[in-house]
Amino acid sequence: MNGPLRKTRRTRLEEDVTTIEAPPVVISGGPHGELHQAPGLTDRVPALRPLSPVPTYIGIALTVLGFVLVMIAWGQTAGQTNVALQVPYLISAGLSGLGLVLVGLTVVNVAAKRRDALLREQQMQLLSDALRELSAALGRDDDR
Amino acid sequence: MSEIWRILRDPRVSTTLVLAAVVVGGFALLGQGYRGAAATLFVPYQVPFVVSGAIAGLALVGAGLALLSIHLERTEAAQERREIAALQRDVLRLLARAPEARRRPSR
Repeated sequence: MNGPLRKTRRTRLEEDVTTIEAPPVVISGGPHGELHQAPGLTDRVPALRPLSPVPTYIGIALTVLGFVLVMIAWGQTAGQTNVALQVPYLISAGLSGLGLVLVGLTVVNVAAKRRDALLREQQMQLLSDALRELSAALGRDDDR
Repeated sequence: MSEIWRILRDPRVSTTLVLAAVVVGGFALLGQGYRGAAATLFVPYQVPFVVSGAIAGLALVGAGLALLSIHLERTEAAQERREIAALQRDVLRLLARAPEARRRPSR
């Protein structure tokens, strides 16, 4: 195994333990668990933080509103017999409703991805800290 | 039968089935819109079918597929977090045994 990771064989307990020789990664964090983010808008607006459920609710609301618009378009076009009067409803309510549905689903998707990314980063940070402590503990044995 | 019921009660399976049903429902709406529009030659009567069948059906298909994609990704992410948590426990176990290893005579 080449590079910063190498296998070392010392005692039976330490067999097959991979030590990390790369310099420690300094990760800046926010007060509520945000990693790799400079203090900015998400710190000032709690609703924009990755773990906040607000974006998900907004996405769901937009999607429902989109479906409601499509139903309104259906009701209005069914009440007309003149195509020239139906087309504006088709565009303003029908196609706009479809657009709102797509936007709402995208907002929900992005909110879910941000949340999962933050949880994964927090876990990797804990794992990295534990590995660093283990490396330090094993390294103290080397110095003796 | 009980095995099938147990599999169906798994939240991952039931959610996937429900969202797949939403997608199928969207295609069914599209089919109904086609049937309604094809049944008349009078355009003002066809337009409501376009709206309720085609546009609404398309919206349902898109919503079902998007939600299915989100659900599958979150299921995989949760599985990944479980595996990383197991790795964390192993590392902490090794860390706890490190002082014991130092006390043993080296070979």
